[in-house]
Parts: sequence; structure tokens; C-alpha cells
Amino acid sequence: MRSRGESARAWAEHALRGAALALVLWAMWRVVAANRTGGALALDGATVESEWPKLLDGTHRAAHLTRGTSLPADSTRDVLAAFAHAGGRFSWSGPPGAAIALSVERAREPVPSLVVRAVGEGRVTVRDGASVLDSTRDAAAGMTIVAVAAPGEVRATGGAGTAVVTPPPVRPLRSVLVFGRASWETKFTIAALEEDGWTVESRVSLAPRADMITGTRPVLDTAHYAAVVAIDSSVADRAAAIVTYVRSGGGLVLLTEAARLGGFAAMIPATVGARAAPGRRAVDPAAPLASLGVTPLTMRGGAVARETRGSVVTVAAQRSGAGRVAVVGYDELWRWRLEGGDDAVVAHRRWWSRLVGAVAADGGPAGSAAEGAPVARWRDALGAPTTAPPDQAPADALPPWLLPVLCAILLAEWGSRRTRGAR
Amino acid sequence: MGAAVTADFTFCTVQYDSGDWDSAPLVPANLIDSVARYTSIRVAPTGVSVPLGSRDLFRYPLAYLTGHLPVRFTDLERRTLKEYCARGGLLFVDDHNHDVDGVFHKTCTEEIARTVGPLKELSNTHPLFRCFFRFEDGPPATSHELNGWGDNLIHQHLQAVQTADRITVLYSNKDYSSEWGYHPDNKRFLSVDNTKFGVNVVVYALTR
Repeated sequence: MRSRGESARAWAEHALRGAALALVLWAMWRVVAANRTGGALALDGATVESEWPKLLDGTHRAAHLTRGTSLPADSTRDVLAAFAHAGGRFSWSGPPGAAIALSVERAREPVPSLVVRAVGEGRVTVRDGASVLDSTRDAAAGMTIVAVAAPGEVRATGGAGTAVVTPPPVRPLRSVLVFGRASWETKFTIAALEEDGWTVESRVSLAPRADMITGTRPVLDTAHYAAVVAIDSSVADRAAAIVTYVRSGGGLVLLTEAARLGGFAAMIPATVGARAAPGRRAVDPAAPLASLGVTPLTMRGGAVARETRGSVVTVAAQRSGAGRVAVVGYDELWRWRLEGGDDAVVAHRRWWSRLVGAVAADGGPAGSAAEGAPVARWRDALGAPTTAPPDQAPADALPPWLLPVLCAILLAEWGSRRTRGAR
Repeated sequence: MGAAVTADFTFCTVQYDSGDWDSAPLVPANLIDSVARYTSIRVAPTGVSVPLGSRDLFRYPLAYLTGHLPVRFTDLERRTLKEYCARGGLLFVDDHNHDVDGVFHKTCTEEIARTVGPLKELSNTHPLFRCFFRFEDGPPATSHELNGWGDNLIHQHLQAVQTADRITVLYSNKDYSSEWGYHPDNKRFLSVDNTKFGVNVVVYALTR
């Protein structure tokens, strides 16, 4: 007759055998179930666009893409990323892809031009819906194009990669407010901006108590004005208001006489030296800007030189609060328009328009850049490539702890029996 | 360190090959005096005379042309004037004869039409007549018109060539060249300064 201890051990051995049998049955069910759901889906560059819908019906719990040299469509990438985030196992292998990135934003100018920046490995070609905008043999250091592009997408193609961006919509620009005495500089600055499409309001000082004012004269804030242009010292009485306007996000262009005003001292990007040659120099029609007189600018910390003539900074700019300020060191810019070459009128107004656009208050979300970096986005969404596809379904179906646990159970059962003399 | 102060405006008289371009030598000094007297425009104390065919003309976006004699521009003068107006210059022409039947008027208007475009009557509500002093009735009459000088007419309007609402050539038959042709010191003998309209011409040119 068995003792109570032997009976307990016999009962435990039965339990262990039952557990081992249950684990074996569970593993068999897993394998059968995995086989029934199809295992890993093998995709390649040629079939991925047509095959990925199979990942949506639950028949595959894993997928591997052997990618070609080109990247699948963004929508396909997003489906694969969603599959991975939903618990599916996804991996990919293949060439990492030629890195290329494209950024397109609207220039802050009335002319609906785009500022296109592209960077890539080797030769990169940028085109709009109509034609090639520009290309470069080596875009590793980046390329910038300012162009009036045809409607539609902008594409940058380099090596095997293509980045596609839909430009932001055109947005209305606010007015520019010009302060100055009655002078040729004031007149032709206003004329240049108006001819380039800006809405210009102005306060032109004619006499101590006589100003010529055009425009609606609303409050000086970024809701009304994209930028302020101060030609000379006649702006002194509005300096404090302009400083507040700039710090809240407005743009400001100061010519040298205005930049010398104490009211702007805390925010100017460069201090203005003595005028080098007040006498009239002849303007070279072939290089009018280079032959104008210049008042040297001494840069302050944080400022950038937008234009230089040799070692002399001629246009400096910096941020001030939420806005931007530029100081212009050229004297008598109007003479560029009058005395320059055949293209002087257009060049003068484009120069002014771009400078004002560079400091102009941002018009809001519509002005933000649209960006395309397909390789980076692919890696961000789907991780690094692997060298081999994921394990196949049967092995994948069995957890790694199963065999050691099963062995331990059977060993315990066998050891218990042998130590009590049973067979 | 103080900055050098330069003039914002220098009065420029146009020299042309035909005719008597220097028939009103006192006008520049008188208008310079008026501009300095009434405005804060930094005006050069002396005027300049510049040949119409010279590139130097482009340094002076307002230029004054007058005379009594027939005006015939050379090809170079025509090319220069056309470009000058296209770039933003304003030519102010005054008929020193005050005579629409005179040779200056007939030849000069012909040259302007040929070079820049046809002259058209300028409305008396144009900003030119309100940009500094107000002339509600248009261009002020001159004493020569009122005394029956020349064509014995009071010209109610000026004429102009306009491009995109901007005057490029302003033409007068009113003989302001005689009206303003006196030494500035003698303004004190006038009850009303008759050069005020000249100030408007300068202010208009500098602001429009």
C-alpha cells in the first residue's frame, strides 16, 4: 500500500504529464493556426504596390520587403508603417536609397515665386510641372533656386531618389510702410516696391509740419504691415512704435541715416560708420550696385552679412525679438535705377522687393515650407534595413520559452518517478 | 561721428543744341530759394545745367527746359530723353513765349510727342495742384497772361505726358519762366509769392 507521500508524488507526476501534454497540444495548435494565416508575406519592389492590401485582411502577421533601388510610394510606406505599429512584424532589405531632400516655400514677395532648396547625393535636377528649373552635378552642399514655377508639384530627382513637394498656396501680402523726406531715395524706393507689386503706404516729410501721407494709417502692427522701410531721420518720432512693431514680428529696413537714430540703437544689426565718399561718384552702368557709394557697416554679434563688397559689409541683418531688421549701407540707391544699365529699373526694384521680403512679417501658416525627404521619412517610419527576412511562420508561431519549459516539466516528472522507484 | 549731409534735390536746367535754353537764368535761383523757404527738402544752393544728350542728366530726375526759339532735338537728345522719362525722370517744359502760335510751342510739343508721347490736357484736380500748396483752380495765372503778353490767352490748363498715372513731361504755355525770372530778394515786394506753384512742381517730382 502506498504511503501518503508517494500518493502525492504520483498525483504531481500525473499533473506534470498533463501539463506537458497540454503544452504540446497548444504548440501544435499554434503551428496549425500560423500555417492557416499564411505566415510572412514576401514583397519586392515590383509587387509591393499591388500586394500590400493583403496585409490589411489579417491573413499575414509578418511581412518582408526586398526593396529595389526606388522607394515605394508614400502611401505604401504609410501602410507598411501602420502594419508594423499594429503588431505586425515588418522588415525590409535592399539599398538604403540615394538621400535627397527638397524644401519649397513661397517667397515673401508679391511676385508668386518659390524658394526651392534641394540637397542630395550627386546630380540633382529640380523641375516643376512645365520644365526643368535647375540642376547641379553635385548637390551635396545643397542648391537654392528662386523661380516663378508652374502650378503643381515640384520634383527633385537625384540618383534613384525623387522628392516631391506640393508648394504652399499663394497668400496675400500686407502693406509696406515707408518713412522718408521728400527725396529721390524715398520716391524711387516707393516706386520700386509698387512696381514689384507691393502695396505701399508712406509718410513723406515735406516741411516741419507738413507730411504727405498715403494709405489708411492703421495701427502700426503686424496685422497691417509686412515691413517698414525707414529712409532717413524723418522717422525719428515713430522709432519707439517701430521697435515695438519689430519685436512683435514685423520687418524693418533701415538706410544709413535712419540707422544712426538712437531709437534703433538697441536693435540694429550693424553700426553705421562715416560716409566714405559724400561726393558724387560715377555709376558704372555695367556694375551699378558695385559702383555706388557705401557707408561701411560694423557688424554686431548675431548679425549676418547679406551683402558685402570685398571686406566691407553693405547689407546686414539680424533678428530682433520676433522680427527682423536689415541695415543698408549703400548710398543713393536710386541712382542705380536712373544711371544703371538697361536692366537697372527691373534690377533695382527686384533688389528692393527681395530685401523687404527677407525681413517681412510672416503671413502665417500658408507661408510655411513644404518639405520632402523620402529616404529619411522611410527610415523614420520603417527603421533600418535588415540582412535577412524574418523567420518563417511555424518557428515564428512557437515562443522561445516553450522547449525549455517542456523539457523541465518532463525531467521533473521523470526524476520524481525514478527517485521513488517507479518505472 | 557725424555723417556728411548732401542735397536731396538739385535744380537742373536742360541744355539743348537748338534754341536758347538759357533764356531764364534767374528762375533756378528763385525756385531754389522758394523750396528752401517753404519746405524741409535739402536743396542744393546752386543749380546745374546739363546737356540733354548727356548721361549726367540721369543724376537729376527733375529737369527744367525753356526757351523762345525753335526746338529740334538731336537723335542723341531724343534717345536720352526717352530713356530718362522711362526710368522715372520728369521734364518740366515752359514756353517762354507764352504763345501757342509761337515757334517754341509748335516745335517743342512736336518733339515731345515724337520722343515721349502726345501731350494731353492735365486736369486741374490733378495731385500736382494740391501736393504742397493748394491751387483749387489749377495752374496759377501769370502776370504776362493777364497783361496780354504773347498769345493774349489765359491758359486754363497745363499739358502732360503721363505714364501709369505719373507725369513724365509737364508742359506749360503760361510763361512761368518770365513770371519767376527775378532775383529771390525781390520776393519781399510781392504780396503773394508767385513761385509757390514751382514748389509744387518740385514736391510732386520728389514724391510721385
